[in-house]
Amino acid sequence: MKNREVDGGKLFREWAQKYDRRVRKITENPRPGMFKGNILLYEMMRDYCRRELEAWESGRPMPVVYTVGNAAHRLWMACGFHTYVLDCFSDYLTREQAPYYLQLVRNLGFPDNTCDRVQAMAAMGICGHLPPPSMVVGELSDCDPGAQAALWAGRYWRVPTTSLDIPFEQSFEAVEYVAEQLWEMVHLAEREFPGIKYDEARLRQMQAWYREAAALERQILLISKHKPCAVAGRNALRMPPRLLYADPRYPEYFRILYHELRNRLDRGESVVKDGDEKFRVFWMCSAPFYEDPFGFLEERGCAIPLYEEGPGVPDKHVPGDEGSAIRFFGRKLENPVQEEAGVILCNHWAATGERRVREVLLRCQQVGIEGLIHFLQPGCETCNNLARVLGDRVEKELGIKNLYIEGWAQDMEKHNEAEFEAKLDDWLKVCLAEKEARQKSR
Amino acid sequence: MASTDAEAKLKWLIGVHLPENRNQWALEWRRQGRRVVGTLDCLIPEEIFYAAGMLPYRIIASHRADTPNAHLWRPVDVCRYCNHVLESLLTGELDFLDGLVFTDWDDDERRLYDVSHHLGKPAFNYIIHVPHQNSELAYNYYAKSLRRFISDLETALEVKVTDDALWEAIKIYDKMRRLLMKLYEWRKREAPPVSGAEALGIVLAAFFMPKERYVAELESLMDYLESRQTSLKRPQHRLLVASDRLDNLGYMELIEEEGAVVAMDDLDTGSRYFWQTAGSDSDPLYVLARRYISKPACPRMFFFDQQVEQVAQWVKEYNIDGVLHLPHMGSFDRLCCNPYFLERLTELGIPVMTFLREYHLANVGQLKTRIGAFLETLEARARPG
Repeated sequence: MKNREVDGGKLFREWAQKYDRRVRKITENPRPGMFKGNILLYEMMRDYCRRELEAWESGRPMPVVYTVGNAAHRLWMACGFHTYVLDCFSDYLTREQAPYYLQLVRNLGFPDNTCDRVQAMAAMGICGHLPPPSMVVGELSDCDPGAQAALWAGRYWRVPTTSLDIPFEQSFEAVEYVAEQLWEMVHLAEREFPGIKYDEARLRQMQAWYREAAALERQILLISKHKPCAVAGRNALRMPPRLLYADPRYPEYFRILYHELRNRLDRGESVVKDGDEKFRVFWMCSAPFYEDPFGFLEERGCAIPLYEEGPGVPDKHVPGDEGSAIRFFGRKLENPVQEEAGVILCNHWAATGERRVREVLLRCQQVGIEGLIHFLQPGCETCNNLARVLGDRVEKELGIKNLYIEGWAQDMEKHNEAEFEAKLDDWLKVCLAEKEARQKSR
Repeated sequence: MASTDAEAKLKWLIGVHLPENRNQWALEWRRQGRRVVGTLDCLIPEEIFYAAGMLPYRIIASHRADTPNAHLWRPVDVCRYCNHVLESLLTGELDFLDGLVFTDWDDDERRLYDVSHHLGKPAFNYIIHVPHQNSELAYNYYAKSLRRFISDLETALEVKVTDDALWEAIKIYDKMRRLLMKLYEWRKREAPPVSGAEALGIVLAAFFMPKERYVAELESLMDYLESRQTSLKRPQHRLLVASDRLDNLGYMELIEEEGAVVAMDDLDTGSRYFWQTAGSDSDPLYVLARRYISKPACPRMFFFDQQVEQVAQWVKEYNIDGVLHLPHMGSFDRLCCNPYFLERLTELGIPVMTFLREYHLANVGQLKTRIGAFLETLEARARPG
């Protein structure tokens, strides 16, 4: 560690307190319109933070792995690592916390022109506010800078560091290639760190929970099809972070969410103003985490049944069952480690663009999307460099309208809320006017 | 060869990459009914194209101050090189290419493939995943990917690649590599035979010329180069320049005009293009896969920390006074490696300065000032006491 003081329990301490406050507030003053699932999510987060804090404060040796994106987190959990997915921490930073962390990495020479979400993720890796890593494992299925942020953390702490090399082909050969890498890493970890041992039963259990949750997400996608829309754009941001994969309550949260949404639908409730849905959009990439642009649109009759990181959206494939495995890789997967490899290879984000385009076209058709909002974070190469191609394809093939709007996920100092909302509003008005004109001409 | 003839020939070779010269072989190749394929980085084995009887053409892009056509498809704040390549594709400057082969050198190049594929410019475009790990597993995976690529190439462009032809290609490429490594070896001398700009020009010529011709020209100059001394005035400091996609001699000239000599480089258009031979000890595609993965690493490689050690080693071997780190804006892999690069070199006591540059030559005044200041710090360091 360099010249900075390590307070490895800082984030856990603050978050345990925050979620405890939230749980108490909801329990003491339940609000009728609020999701009942929220309290479970906050309890899961509170309990997780308490457990991690206790482990850190006990002073006992603590095998920690830092990961990012889709780097087989369940596998490391099954090996007995305290598994810290860096982007899960950075995505949960509050608007008061984010500026400190962004400045921290910029001062050390990390590029301020790469996407701010990656900058925040990189900060989590080196800030010393989490227990320091014993090992770092990055991955490439999201973006290069994300993998680089993990590599930097490993180089910074001078611990064994590697990253999963993810080909963009979806083939059984690719599954074997990624699975082999995972095995090599597991063997390294078992050799290097006392107490680390691959526990296949535990991995299978977590995979079963994940599949169960994914099945419920697909059910939520079916609810999203109905008009007026019962699913709020913000619901996508209520998904449990990957830090909670080992919590047995993980699928339970999705079950509660699904039933609440189903009930809303059955009661004819909608998220758009007065139940009058005029337009529906698919929100691409990320979003400003410190404000609610979804609510702004819903207030104007525009539903957001799909958000690219939310339930049922393209990269949430789970090739654990035989049918999916054959569809994606041409044959059944042979063991849980191959299943982890398969999940990673189903993430289209860092593959060639055609896979993402096809997935988006399919979801747009399934849910009756009329507009795509491309949230362009400056420096996001994977998303921004494909946005025009994607927009061109959906417009030509499905007649879908596009809005390209620049924004920052974390760096609220650069965000102009009024300007951002004015752009959303102007675009929506144009879309609605065109839709009305088309309807009249029919 | 008389020294004046040799000097003229050297100047000619250095000028091969210039816009008015660089397409002549590609156009001649096309006139003969042969294929020309564009590449964009140093990770795709050019030997495959050579073995197929094709001419590999590594793209130097437009170098214009603005790329308005490209911005219809890509934002301005991403990889400038890729934007310049797209501009060249859209303005028809690269219409003589039969195909374009991309790798996932970085996210930007991968997404440039997506645009090229979407627009169908050129008609044959292909992308290969190059592993980021340096391991047997990675060599084998890459070798298999190359096998598939060859099969697709044979079908799409009606060519044939045999193992014998691959061995022939490996032989000529290794010969080129040995010649360039020898030339770089001479750069260790107190008075190097070539300036940094000249060295870059010599390497860039290899991107455009048929390899036999290039090797023959370079070989014929080796005796002359061995005894030559750079004509730079007052080169007081020896620098190493680290960057990617640096294919504009103007940057090197600007540095050397400030009173330094670039005695070594860590460039994908320089040392990383030719460093390390392929060998002949196994299956040709395995040999190629191993060479292209394990050669000095670009920042996208997970083992780039080893490349930082390699840079430190070069600093010693070439008696370098300081390292100029010149990432181009939008080179996110290199930029993300910047904190470690700076930290490690500083830890080893190696002076280093980072300056973000454009792909084309720009911000000249600012760059000159920064280089001047850096050279002053080197001077202060060198002063006794």
